[in-house]
Amino acid sequence: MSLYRTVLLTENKHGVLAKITSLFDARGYNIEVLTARKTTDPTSMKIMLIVEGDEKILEQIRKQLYRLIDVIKVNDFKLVNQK
Amino acid sequence: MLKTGAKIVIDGLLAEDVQYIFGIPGGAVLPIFDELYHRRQQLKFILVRHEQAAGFMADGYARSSGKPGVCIVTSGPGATNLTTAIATAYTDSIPLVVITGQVATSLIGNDSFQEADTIGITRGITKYNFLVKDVNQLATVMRSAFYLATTGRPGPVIIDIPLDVQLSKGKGKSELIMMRGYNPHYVGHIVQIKKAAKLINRANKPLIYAGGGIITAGATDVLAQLATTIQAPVTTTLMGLGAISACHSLSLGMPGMYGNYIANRAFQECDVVLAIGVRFDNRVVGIPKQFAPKAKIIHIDIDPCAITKIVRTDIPIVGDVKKVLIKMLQLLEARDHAPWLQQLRKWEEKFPPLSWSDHQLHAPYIIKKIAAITNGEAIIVTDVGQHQMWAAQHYPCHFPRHFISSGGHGTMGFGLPAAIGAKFANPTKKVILITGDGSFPMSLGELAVLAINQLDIKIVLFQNGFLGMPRQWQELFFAQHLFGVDLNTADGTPKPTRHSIPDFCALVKTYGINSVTIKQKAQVLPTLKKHLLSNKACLINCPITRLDGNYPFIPPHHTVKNTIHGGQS
Repeated sequence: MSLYRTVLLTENKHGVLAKITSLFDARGYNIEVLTARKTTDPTSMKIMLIVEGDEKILEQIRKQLYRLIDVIKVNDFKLVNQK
Repeated sequence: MLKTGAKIVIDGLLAEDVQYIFGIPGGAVLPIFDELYHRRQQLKFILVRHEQAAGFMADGYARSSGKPGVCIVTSGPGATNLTTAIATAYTDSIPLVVITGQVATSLIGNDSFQEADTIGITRGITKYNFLVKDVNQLATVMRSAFYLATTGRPGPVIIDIPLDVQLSKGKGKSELIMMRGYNPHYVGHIVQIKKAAKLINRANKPLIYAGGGIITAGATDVLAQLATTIQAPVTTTLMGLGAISACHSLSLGMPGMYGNYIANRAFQECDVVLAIGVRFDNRVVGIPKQFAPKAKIIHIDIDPCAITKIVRTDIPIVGDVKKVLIKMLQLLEARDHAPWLQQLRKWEEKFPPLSWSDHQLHAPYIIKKIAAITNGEAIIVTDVGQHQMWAAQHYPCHFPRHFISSGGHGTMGFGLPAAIGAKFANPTKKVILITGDGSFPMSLGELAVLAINQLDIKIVLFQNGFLGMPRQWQELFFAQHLFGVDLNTADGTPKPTRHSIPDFCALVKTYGINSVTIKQKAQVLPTLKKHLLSNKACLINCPITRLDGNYPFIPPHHTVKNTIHGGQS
């Protein structure tokens, strides 16, 4: 499987990170890299994650990330490297 | 004006016109109960016997009325007991607002008495959950919860309120709801709608695949109008039963694993599928790659996640089903697909539904008689199992919100409390629970709620002494190794003799509920007439043939070609 990277813009609230990571957890996907920090607007947070997974499933996760109430914006998963 | 958290909660519920709240008190919600005590004339509290049932009652209330169901439980075991009901509502997109007490903020994370990580546990089974740590936000949270539960694709929302927040004082006025990440898309994209209409206008064998989304959106009239205009047959999922009347000449009944043969055959042969408010459940689709192989698929849904999740979609339309259908209808040409419809009826004649013509007592026969006596006007609530599929197949449902069943989650024990919730929402309607001796005992305690509130609910209990669904699968796929399925032996290995533990008639008597047992086929009609038409709760005990299965049946990983038409095994 390949590594993919995405960047999310979310509300800066408790529980947001857990809601996001549990979508990967539920499918048994390991998150390889994750960074999160608040933006210049303190009510928002930017999260970058790199995850190993199947492209089709990641597209489904992308939609489900977008469905999360606290997620404002989701970028497409971009291929980082082929293993 | 400052108010206590508890008062803000009750004010919030009253502002949303909540009539009933189902639940059980406990240490971590007593301040809210104290407030409820003062307002008990305005907001009726219904005391239940198990928190899970409080959730099911709120769910049955919501499904049968279209309004959000509300329940309240305490922290820890109260909240964990409720989780199955929350998951049930989540899978079927039912609006619930759930209030859970939580230990005081200072105690959270300390393994305190009756503490559980409620928002953690319910993360995957709620549309949203709130842990309110600041009383000043509570009023806004209350409003937001109802807004989230009822808009877009509905679902359960939890408000977890620590004890100290319920007691402390804060501002009681809700702020404007601001959710940047939540913008349900109601209006379908016109270009997509035009494309879809063009495809439908050119189709020769269209098929409408109608789901629960039509009922949620209140689009049943538009659906009937659309189907009639284009003369397309309609197959309704378990959640969509009642989206079009079962008597409608274009209705094909339910598709899927236990669906009608022609509904499944239609998927194989059609050239356009118009999927409306459905989620392509695996029990309908079977093998995704072989689903509707000759067809282009149009999918209308309010939830973008539902689109292309399981089956490829050619024309996705994200939007409110009703709004999209109204727009689409203006673009559709009147058609007459007589050859296609005749073909479908020919297949139906070739594989007619089972007739059950012998003299034994079969559930489908009884279900058909129930329909005849009530003119299909009753609200039918089911549990989960064989009786549920028999009811879905043989009870002709004519109206939306008249067939209440746990579809996606398939939760046994749902029936009795959901029927109670439906009766509270529809006091003037006849409510009939169809259940089995596997499911019914899972929520037996709620008979007390039925009896105490003097609810006129008819309970039709199909008793075959088996957990019939797993038994049927063991018969077919596990070399007849029947095990764990006979309800009257220690390890569930079948015994030839018929017992019944408990004696259900004696049991309901202890709750002051009348009962009758139907022993012969000849008694079915007179007994049902007498008891269904009365205005008192009653258990109608039906010891049915022990080994009946649910047919037709498409085994998992197979298509309609491998349908087992079955018979009486």
